[in-house]
Amino acid sequence: MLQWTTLSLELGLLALALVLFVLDLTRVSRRLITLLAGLGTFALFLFSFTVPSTGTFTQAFILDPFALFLKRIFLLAALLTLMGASTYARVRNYTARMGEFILLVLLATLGAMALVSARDFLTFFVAFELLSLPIYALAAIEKGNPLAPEGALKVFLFGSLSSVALFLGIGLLYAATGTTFWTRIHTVLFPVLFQLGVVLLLVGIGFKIAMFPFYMWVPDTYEAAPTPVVAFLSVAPKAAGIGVLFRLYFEFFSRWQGDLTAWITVLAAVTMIAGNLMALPQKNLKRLLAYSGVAHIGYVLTAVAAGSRFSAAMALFYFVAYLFSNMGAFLAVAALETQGVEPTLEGSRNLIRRSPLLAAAFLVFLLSLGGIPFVLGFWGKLYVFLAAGKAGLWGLVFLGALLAVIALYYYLNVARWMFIVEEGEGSLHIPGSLLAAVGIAAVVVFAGGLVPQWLVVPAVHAVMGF
Amino acid sequence: MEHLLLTFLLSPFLGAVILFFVPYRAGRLIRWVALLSALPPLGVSLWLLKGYDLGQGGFQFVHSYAVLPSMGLNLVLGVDGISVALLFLTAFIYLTAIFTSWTIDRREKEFFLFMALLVTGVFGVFISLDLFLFFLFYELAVLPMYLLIGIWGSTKEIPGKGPFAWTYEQIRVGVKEYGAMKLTLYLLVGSAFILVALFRVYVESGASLGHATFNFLQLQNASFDPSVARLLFLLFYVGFGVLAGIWPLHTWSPDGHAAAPAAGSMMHAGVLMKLGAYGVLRVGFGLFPGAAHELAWIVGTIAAINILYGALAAGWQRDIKYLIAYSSVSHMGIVMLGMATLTEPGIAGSVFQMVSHGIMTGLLFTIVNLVYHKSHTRDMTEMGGFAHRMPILATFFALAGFTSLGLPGLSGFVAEFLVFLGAWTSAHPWWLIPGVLGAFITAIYVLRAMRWIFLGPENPRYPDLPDARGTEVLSMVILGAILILLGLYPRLLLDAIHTGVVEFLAHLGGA
Repeated sequence: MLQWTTLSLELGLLALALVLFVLDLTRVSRRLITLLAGLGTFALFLFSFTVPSTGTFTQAFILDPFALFLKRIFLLAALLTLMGASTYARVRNYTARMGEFILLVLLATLGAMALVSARDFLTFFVAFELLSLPIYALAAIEKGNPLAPEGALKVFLFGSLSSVALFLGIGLLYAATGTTFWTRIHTVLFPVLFQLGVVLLLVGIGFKIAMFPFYMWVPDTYEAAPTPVVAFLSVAPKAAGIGVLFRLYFEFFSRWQGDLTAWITVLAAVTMIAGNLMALPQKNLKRLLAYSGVAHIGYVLTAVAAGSRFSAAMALFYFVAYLFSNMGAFLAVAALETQGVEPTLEGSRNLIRRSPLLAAAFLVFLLSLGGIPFVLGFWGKLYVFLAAGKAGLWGLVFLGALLAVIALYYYLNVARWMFIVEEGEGSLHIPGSLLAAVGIAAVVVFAGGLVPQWLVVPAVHAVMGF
Repeated sequence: MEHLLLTFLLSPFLGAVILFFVPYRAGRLIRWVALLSALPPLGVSLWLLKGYDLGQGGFQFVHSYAVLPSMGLNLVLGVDGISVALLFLTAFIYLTAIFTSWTIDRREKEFFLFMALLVTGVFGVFISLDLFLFFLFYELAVLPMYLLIGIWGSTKEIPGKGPFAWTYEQIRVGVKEYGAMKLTLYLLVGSAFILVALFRVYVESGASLGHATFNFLQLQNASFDPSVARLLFLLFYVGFGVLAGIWPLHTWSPDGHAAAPAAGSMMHAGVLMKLGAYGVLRVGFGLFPGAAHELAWIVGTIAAINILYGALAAGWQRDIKYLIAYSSVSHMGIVMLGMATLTEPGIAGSVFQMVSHGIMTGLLFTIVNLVYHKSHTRDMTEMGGFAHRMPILATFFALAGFTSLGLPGLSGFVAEFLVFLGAWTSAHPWWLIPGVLGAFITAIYVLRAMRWIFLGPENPRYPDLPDARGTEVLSMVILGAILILLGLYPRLLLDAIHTGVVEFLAHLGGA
């Protein structure tokens, strides 16, 4: 007896994507389609609170609170992306391709949702590709932009490389264990192949989450791709990658814990250092946020290295904070771009006078990314460090705390241009849907900082299954 | 009565919230809202001098408010004799900082809003008995300073000299953005130390007490492994010490304070640096008595360096704001030296010096900024004869200067005398030498600065120098009166401080 209800969210999203795709072939206005896509995604988000939170669909697919929590993050990421995308497309002259845009975003979301539920290597790989392929197309959707081909090609080449690494890793793991089902991996026949396979898996996922040393494509692609796409790209694949990493960790990596913790500890440390140092000299806001995103993955890897149930919960919570602060920041950049402002430090000068609301929201995002108390990002960082501390990784905690201070230099530098530099005229009129998306994110980041337990407690409940 | 202490948090915080909704153009209203937010804490802090029961001692008015019950986080408020003295200081500095900034002429709303937030943080630190909220308030006190300096600060005009002049030019040392960023990053590095140490305390307390907690009163009963305790003591010492300006981590202080606007320097040098010293005393010494006894020699030796180094560096300056900033570094050395003696007069002197120096620095920065605003120069050698035109400023500068060099009858003398007495009776009597030497050098640079700025014949270069007036005078009169009052009647605060210190030492054991 197959439990189709387990798949209800995925099936719903697929249906939504297909219906909208067909509608796009008719004469229905693009605006309406975008609106429907947003409403549909939001409906699915609400629906996700009614579906049964546990279940399996064959041995290859599992729905547990952990996966469900991440799926909600993906749906929200898609929703914010769609809210930002419509105005942006109009300014950048690709409204005609809005139909494809929506389809691709929804399919990538579907891939991410399937990925965190995968429990065998085939589902895992298919979901991984479903997440990756639309992104290649999305990065190139702005045909008029001379930078677009380069950015898209970079993400495509590195993405393909990561797929190759994954496939090879999966092959080796199959050879070492004799099964593709994670639950059936009991005995390791060839430890060397097993280790090599795990390393290759880490490489493949590492590209996706932009871990050191696989982050080189990130700044170029982020700079070239349409900003709402970047906003999606900076959160959903990373959350999916970290989610699947935790599942792999608990399903079968754990039999091998000693080695792996050391490896991930080192990777987390190097990723944090690299991301933060590379972000320091950036003058382009999108590149700056790209490197800061690398640094944030370093912080989350700290939680992976801790490898406990508590740390998994705190990583989930971290991603909620990261979802709203990082997407908020990118959408704020998108808002600037729609007004013909270059996405650079210079471009953001005197924003407090030119658009006070946007400046205030941007400040909230920066403070949250920087981990300043009383906003959501602070609690994310705090809990991740606490989880690492409980696992005895004090060195990593100390390094992370110091690097967080270095990070504040570049975040505050943006704030300096927005608030302290007083030259710069011409008030900006940010379009409504973008301002709404930015505003919602800012309110969540701010309110979440005051009552973090509303998000921490669900995150803790979400990992009870492990 | 049990909710009395909430006044300290709610009053400035509500002030900030109201200011947020006041329109930009309502300049007068903005100032009055700020002023009104300063009065209730002032009233309560004065009442506490009587209301705090000296006979009973210990922490009083303790009350716990649940914040994050699921994480065991509570807002626990309470005061002992030491906090009573520091609340007194903060309330007065906030009031006079508002008076001093009454004439500020741009972006007033944001200015007073950030000030109110900052003060909320400072009060929060002095009354929190939950270390996690202590930390949050600490951060709240540190952060608004970035914008206060960055927006309203002043930029150094005296060109650099010496082998590093070119480098300094390149990284824009002395420019207000540099000062603001340096101050913020230094203090946040300190916070990183504190945060890691706090987590460690939290995790370790789980092993020692059976349940992990941030509650200071419970943590006092926890016992830590000696090596862990030493590590944590050092982390807290360095973390809070950055804010207290310990050598060699003090360099943010001159750059930051010189760049800050008058009220910013008043708050920062007057109150925030005390936050650092208070943190070392309360958390570092308070939670790890064993480690404190073992490592007090480090604290004291570095404090001795602070005193001498700060005094010598101050003697080198021609920039008037840098002079005062370096003298703060020197005086904070006396604070740290006092607590390192681990003796009753030493610690009492340390706390008394926190108050005395806070008031004195507040007064000095007020004067110095007024002189700068009216003469548009910070180079002391270009001044001279200002006393003819600015008799009021000259008088108050003399008063603050004499306090600074420890003239009997003023509060600085009481504080330094107690600290030196403590040093003499401590395990390291030689600490007396740098202490007294520092006081001597202070006399030289203070008197020289007075001569440079105010004395001599009338200066033809500045034909139009208005004296201080209105709220500026009011602010100086209040601060000056406290200096004299505390000098003549130190028991006003010393009784309370004494009760706190005795309890503190009883817990610290030995000495």
